[in-house]
Amino acid sequence: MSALLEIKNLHVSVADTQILKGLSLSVSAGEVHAIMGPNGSGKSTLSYVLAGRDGYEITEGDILLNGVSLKDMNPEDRAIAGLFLAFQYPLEIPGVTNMTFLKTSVNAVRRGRGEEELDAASFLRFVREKAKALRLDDDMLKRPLNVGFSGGEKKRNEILQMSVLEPMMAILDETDSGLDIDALKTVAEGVNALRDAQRGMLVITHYQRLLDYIKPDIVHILAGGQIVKTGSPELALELEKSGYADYVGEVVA
Amino acid sequence: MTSFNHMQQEAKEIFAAHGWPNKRNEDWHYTDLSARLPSSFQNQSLELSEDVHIDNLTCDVEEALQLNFINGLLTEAGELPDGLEISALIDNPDLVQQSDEDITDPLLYANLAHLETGIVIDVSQVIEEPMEIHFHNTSAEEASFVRIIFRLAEGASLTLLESHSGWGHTQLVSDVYQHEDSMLRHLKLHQAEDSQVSLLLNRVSLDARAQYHNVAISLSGGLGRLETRVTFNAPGGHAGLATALLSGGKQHIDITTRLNHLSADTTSDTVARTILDDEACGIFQGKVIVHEDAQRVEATQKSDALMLSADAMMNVKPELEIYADDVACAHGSAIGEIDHEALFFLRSRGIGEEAARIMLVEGFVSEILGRLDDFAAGAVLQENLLKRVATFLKKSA
Ligand SMILES: Nc1ncnc2c1ncn2[C@@H]1O[C@H](COP(=O)(O)OP(=O)(O)OP(=O)(O)O)[C@@H](O)[C@H]1O
Ligand SMILES: [Mg+2]
Repeated sequence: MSALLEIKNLHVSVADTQILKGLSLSVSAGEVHAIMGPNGSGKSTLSYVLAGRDGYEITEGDILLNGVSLKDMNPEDRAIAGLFLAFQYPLEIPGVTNMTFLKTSVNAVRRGRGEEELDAASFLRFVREKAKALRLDDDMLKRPLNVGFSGGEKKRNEILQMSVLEPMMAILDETDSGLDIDALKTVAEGVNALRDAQRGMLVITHYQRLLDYIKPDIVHILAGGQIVKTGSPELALELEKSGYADYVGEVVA
Repeated sequence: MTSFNHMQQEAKEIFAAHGWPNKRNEDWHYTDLSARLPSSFQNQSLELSEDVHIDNLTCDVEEALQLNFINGLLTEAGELPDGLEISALIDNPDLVQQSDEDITDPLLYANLAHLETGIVIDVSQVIEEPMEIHFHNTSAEEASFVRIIFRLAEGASLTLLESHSGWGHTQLVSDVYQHEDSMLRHLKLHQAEDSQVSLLLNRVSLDARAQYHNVAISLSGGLGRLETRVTFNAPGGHAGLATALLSGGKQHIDITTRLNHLSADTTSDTVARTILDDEACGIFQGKVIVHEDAQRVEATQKSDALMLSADAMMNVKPELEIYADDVACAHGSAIGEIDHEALFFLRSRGIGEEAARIMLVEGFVSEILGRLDDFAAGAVLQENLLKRVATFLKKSA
């Protein structure tokens, strides 16, 4: 059986600088993988290139979702195909209410997947239930998207988007940063609620703490644009103690 | 008392001598009328062979009182409720004289020289239903020159929906006199054909605690100048001017505002959001004047432009003239492009590129549309206008 997400020998350059230098990784359905790695090692670059952001040029290698290459797919089609990225730095969009945004997004994805769109009333019920589980109150749904949201609120709002879009493959880029301890648990519950035998997740984090709540099956270390080590969840505990010193030297630039 | 004919004769002479202003006139630097307008107009006699269908160009509010001006002539005026009265301007020459002291102003002498219809609308109480005044020219040969004077009595209020469509040349001067504690909510919808020249001058005079809320939306038209001048005569007066311009093609749209704070304790708030596509040209000239004795004035002015094309052009000229010392005035302006990160964010949520762009642009003008919240029929207006904004954006996408 082929993997849900397969990243093969990925080379990516941004503004003519090579950032990812032959990164390979594969996530099977039902698995949660964690990626840890020093600042600037290319974790967000990987998440952006997966989501299809402009300016991230794949110079070699490929990304397959359910066996289909994402290389020539635009960001919206990747979302429809079931990919979701929770941004490290969520964007603020003035003048567009969170609710309008969520509804447009959900219905665009449903349309793209050949499902029926939700009418206003059922959508409202649906989103309210999900928001409640993430302890985001109604007021947050009426406000312009992320404008004036606190750091933690923005992150919870990312998870709300994930909950309503129900992606097959979710990438969480430092979703734990900026969260207080209670919010971390709430967010983890939201993420865990989506875990099932069909879905996969790639959780990027700097801290073991998140992995106490979202238990990964596999942990990778990304350094210098490559996966330098792959191991069991204990690897994260080790890193917590000894840092990246043992790994950063391993990559030949 | 000078007769109306006498004043009009004087205006004709001035027009003959000076014509339209050119770019050497500071107020017209960015909008050179002399280069674009004919020096004479033939007033057409109105002969409508068939009914003119303008329904879908108006503000589209069912319960509104409807006044229609076709080719400059008042063709339809529904039954008026208590508290609203219309009379002919020609019977009130003193009103013209009073408001046109400065007859050297091109928009005034040109209007008076060619005037076809002049009316006075008296509002003596709170009017619940909105009043729609629609101006339409049926052909490129038509020129219409209209003057309307609104007088709001103490405590009176009205929601006025003004809309402009069609071809040719249209020039409107509307003068608003607001007595104490009166309130005018004024929507101006400019949605003319590519060939139309629209010169819309709106002068407002505010007595104590009078409130004037203006929302102007321009969605099309060849050359447009939407000019608003507000004079604050007594404490407590407030004016809010919010404009959204969406221009494409070779349109040239000029927003000029002048807030003249003669009195202390008055406030004004000017916001302009401009979206320019293709080779469109947008202008925002905003001036705030705070006179020497006008202490504790608060005046803010902000212009933001979103450029959808490299060939579009935006000119911004903000001016603050402050002669009092205890005031809070601020102005700011920004010109930018679509935020590519925001666009990517929306697309990563499954929203197609075109829809995502439309969403960002709608977000950009939503603050202006939001000001219609308190208008009579505000929700209907917002819905109608959003549809039109979306149509504009689809065309330009
Ligand atoms: N647009 C760009 N132009 C040039 N270099 C870039 C650009 N974007 C990212 N980089 C560089 O790519 C490298 C990887 O950045 P990336 O954001 O992927 O790191 P990261 O692993 O997510 O770090 P962090 O842990 O701090 O979030 C960094 O050295 C960064 O400076
Ligand atoms: Mg990062």
